[in-house]
Amino acid sequence: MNPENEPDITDEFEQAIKKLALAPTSSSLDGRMTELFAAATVSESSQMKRQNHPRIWMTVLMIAASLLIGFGAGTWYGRLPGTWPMPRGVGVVPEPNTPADGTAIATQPTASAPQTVAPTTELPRARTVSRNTTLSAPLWLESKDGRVFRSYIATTKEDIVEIDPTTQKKKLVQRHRPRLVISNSPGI
Amino acid sequence: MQPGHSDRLAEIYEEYRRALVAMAVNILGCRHRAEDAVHDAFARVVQSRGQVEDPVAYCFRAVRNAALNVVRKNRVQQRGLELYQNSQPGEVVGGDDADGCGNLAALAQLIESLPPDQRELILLKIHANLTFAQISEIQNVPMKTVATRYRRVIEALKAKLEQVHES
Repeated sequence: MNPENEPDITDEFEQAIKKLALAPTSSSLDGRMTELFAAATVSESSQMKRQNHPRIWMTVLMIAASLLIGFGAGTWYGRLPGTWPMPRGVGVVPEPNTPADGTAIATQPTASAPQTVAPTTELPRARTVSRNTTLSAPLWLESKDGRVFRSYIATTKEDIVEIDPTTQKKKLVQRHRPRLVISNSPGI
Repeated sequence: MQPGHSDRLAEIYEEYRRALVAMAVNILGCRHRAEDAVHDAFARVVQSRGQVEDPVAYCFRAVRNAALNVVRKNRVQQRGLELYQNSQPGEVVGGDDADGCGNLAALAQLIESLPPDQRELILLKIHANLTFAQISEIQNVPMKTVATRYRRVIEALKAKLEQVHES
């Protein structure tokens, strides 16, 4: 008899043994087992429901976390120097570039400037604020009373044109007229 | 718990309940305790969560272990262990059909006279129709050993039955 090749019970003797009946199980055991399996089925289904709930909550939490991360990143990006929005109350000072009250133009904050702004690794750069206007890197103007103003040199792509009275032809006087823009609130 | 786990167990019980109880009776020598052992074993199997390669063999092994635990742990049932060791009448109650090997009643008596481990082998292989691999898993014995033991039991039974006929 080779155990690798599982033998069927074809032997006549074994068939005769198979004809010997086993005693039936009692009705009490069958009843108990039916109750056991019924209770297990109910427990199984309720457990499956409980297992599904965490999946739903995990999905909701994942979406909420993604939104929070997205908003947080957007807020942080909006605070970067290169992406600062145009400050309110920006005034336009006509030429000459040097203010009449004798304020000095500095390209770096002066020693008296408050050092509350955390230094960033990103270098200041010019940026386009509208289709025709570009602001330079920020400059700091210090007034006589020690207040510091953020300022920019705004370059507008508007050519200054004069009309020759004799020939009535337009003559280009200056291309891209620069202006000095000074924030009307002190501080950096 | 796997989906449909209890349904599968219910199917196994429905198909093998007589053999399961017979195996427990073979160990405990008491039908009521054997049925309790079957119930307790299935109650534990229902709660199990692990993956089982062969659920049928697993259930048989669970019932067998439950019955042996009853014998080991309960001093009152020490007598059952002695009965198990000294051979007890099995669950075979006789057939209802004539066969080519002689009297079925004589065959039943011969089987009942076998040692319990041999009777269990007959029960699992012939009545429960399990494979040697399944029996080896249930009894925790190598498969070749199971096959050898089975062959010897059958040969011994044949020889004894011939002696009965001659006498």
